[in-house]
Amino acid sequence: MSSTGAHRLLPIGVTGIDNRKLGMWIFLASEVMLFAGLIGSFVNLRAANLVMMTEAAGLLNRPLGALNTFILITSSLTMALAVGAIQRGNRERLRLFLLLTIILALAFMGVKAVEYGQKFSHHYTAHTNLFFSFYFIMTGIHAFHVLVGVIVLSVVLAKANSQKMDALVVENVGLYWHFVDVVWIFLFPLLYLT
Amino acid sequence: MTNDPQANQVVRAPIHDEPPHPEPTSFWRRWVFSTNHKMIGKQYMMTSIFFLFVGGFLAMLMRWQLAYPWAEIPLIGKLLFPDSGGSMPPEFYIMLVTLHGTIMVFFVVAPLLVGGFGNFLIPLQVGARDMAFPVLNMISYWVFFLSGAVVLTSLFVTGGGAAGGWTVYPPLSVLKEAVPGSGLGMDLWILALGLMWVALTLGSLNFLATIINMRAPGMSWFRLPLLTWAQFVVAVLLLLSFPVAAAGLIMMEADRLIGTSFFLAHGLEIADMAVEAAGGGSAILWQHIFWFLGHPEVYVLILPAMGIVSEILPVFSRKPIFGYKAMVVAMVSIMGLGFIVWAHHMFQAGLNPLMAMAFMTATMMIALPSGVKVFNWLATLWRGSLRFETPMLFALAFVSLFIIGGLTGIFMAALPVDIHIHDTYFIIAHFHYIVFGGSIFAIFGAIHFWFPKMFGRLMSESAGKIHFALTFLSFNAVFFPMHMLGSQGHLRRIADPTVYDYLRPMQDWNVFITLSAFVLGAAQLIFLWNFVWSIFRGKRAEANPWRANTLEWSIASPAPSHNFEEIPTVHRWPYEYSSNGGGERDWIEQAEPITVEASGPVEEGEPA
Amino acid sequence: MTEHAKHRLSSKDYVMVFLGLMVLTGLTVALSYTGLGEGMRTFLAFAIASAKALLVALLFMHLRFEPRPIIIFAVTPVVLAVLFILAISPEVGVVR
Repeated sequence: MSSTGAHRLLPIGVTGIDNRKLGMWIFLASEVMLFAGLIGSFVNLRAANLVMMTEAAGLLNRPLGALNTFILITSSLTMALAVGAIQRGNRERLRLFLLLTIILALAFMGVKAVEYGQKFSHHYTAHTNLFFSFYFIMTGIHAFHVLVGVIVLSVVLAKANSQKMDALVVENVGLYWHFVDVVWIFLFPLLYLT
Repeated sequence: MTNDPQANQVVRAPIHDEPPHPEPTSFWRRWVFSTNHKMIGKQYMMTSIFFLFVGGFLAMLMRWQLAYPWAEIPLIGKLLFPDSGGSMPPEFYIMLVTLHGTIMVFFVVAPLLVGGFGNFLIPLQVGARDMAFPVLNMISYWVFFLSGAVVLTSLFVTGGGAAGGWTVYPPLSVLKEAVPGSGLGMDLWILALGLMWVALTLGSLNFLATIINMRAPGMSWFRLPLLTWAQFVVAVLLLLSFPVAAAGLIMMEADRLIGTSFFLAHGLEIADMAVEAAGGGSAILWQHIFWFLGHPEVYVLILPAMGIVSEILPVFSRKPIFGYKAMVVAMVSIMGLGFIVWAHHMFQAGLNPLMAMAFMTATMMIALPSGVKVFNWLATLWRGSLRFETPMLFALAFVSLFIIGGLTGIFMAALPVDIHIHDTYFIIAHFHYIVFGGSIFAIFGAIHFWFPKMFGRLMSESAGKIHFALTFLSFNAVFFPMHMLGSQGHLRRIADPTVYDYLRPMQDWNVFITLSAFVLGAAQLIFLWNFVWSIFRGKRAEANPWRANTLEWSIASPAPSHNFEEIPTVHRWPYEYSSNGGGERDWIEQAEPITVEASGPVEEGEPA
Repeated sequence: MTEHAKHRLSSKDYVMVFLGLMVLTGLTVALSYTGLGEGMRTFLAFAIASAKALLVALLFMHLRFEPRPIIIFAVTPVVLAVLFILAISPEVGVVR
């Protein structure tokens, strides 16, 4: 922790883990279960209504979905590089990669908005059928997580030069952001490809 | 880095080992938006005790209706129901059923045990100055408070509160036209539970981080008091089961608000009118989702109570707890099994027989760790020097009532028996023996026990004993006959038993139960008086009035703002009683650096 | 441990992980056009997604270098999630 003030007390506990990092992983554990509830409901009700669900899935825009997957995975890379940058004490690079991550996140939301617009213009809404119910709920909750990510990333970017912003804060935001990516890694094939 | 218990013996500088901050002096930061775990614990406790009386009042109304169906309610009937001449309308009764359950489970027992005693005791018992994330802790309480406000509001909206049972099965809960309470009241119910999810997730996150990471030097895993172990296990249960229900709540609200049909099948009709929904959903899906939370939730209600009893019994028997490690293993197994037994609540939903068998077997297996715990408590009492003060009386009542409730649980775990007794008073008897006879009795014991540490005074012993005796007797008078009624087929959730020929001969029992319930309700006023009176007028308490070992008794009563002058170093497990090492005393506290000249073996390390 | 873990991965490593994720994404998209049966497609989609998630968790999220308490909190919910999805399938996941 060379980048932080020398006499600041760090919250390292008996296990040698920083409280904040442990807290983030515990939080992510509960997030996994939130999406488990949604994905579990989806795959099972999909099996129960297979024909209707697969036909409706064919109506989604695969190229746009694939593009968004590409965007989000790239943003995970820039996030990982941002964490690497602050761990080496390079705050210039940290700011650059945080900015890139935010731009990619906004691009993801933009593509999502285009997709939603396309669906609405064809009158596919959440109550059209069960597939679109799941599509809008699951991508909606995921998009909410992306939005929270953008806000948090922006705060971190704004304070990137402050000495209070130690590597662990960036690492924690990174953990959250990678988790959002992992959720999309499952949602994309489930909704668009099967 | 490992979490191997031995490795934790290494003395490390614990977190926040800075000189204690002065306590905030402003009224708001000290009494309202406090981040101090002890204040938050008390806030949780006061709020839940308030809800205990709300939920109890709803139960009294239910019992009146069951004993004297459609009769005018004395005193308040004309006030509540001017339109029906003072008797309750039928839809009001199912709202009572729903909200009594919701309030008692989510707003009384869980927040008292977890929010109240968890917050107050975990940092004290692990030897920390506060929780890992004090601000999150404050947010947790205020979100809980908001949730409570929402559920109270729902009682007064058009159509009344939710009326689909505390399990809110669809289609009652999804179709707004189903019953009056399925309107705004149901939306508020979903909102309240959603807020509860946020509050409990923040809480359990805090508990886990604190217990894992903020133990004082020397406080290895197997030196933790059993209550802290229970809180750890419960935090895992809440953390991982509530989000699944939260996903379900989001889906249910979507069904109601934007016309999805996650929980609605094709071709539903209400009163010959086809329901406008795309269909394809499944009501059974909601049952799975709800009980994936609902079953772990009932362990949330009982495990901390078990922890409390494991703290109280050794102190008042002056003996070490019997089988410490077995107790820990039992709690962890109850947690593990608790995650995989939820569908035993759904035996009548037409489960796949293979799954039903699996769930039945897993449920039966819970009897093993529960039995281990009961035998260990009995062995702890065996040949001890028992002192029958109020906390001990409640703890002993817990053990005996839990045995009854536990045994009836095995009846219901057995699929063929459950088919017969499902949705009868037998079930009501079973879970009230667990949640009232178990959890609430343990809570009363715990309040008497830790009151000095919270408020610096002792509760009145004589009022406590009268309260105990009345509660114990009337509790059994209320719930024991329900076993018989239930096995004779007396249905639950019906407002008027006298419409069924076969239930009419049992109506006298309903009257008896109701009268006992009124005694039970009235007895709680003694507790309320004792609680409030003792805060201001109770006898001043010394630091360790019960001669107990855990860390919270090594500091002044009431506990000072930052708990410990300096972070203690822990030398032994928390149950060193009847040991000669303490000189004149028969106990050695966890943080006492005593070298022992003992006649018997004294455990310096961990229990065998 | 955090002290040594943080310099174990270089920027080049992260780019390699990224390329791996890209290849797997391409693969899963390509498979969806092959006309494989529904069951096989779903299975492969899940398998590839799990592999990708594992890459992200182990390397981007440094789970590979984390101590045991964190690994337990990462693994337990995944096990429980799979259990939940499978256990409800006999009632929910069948044609009624």
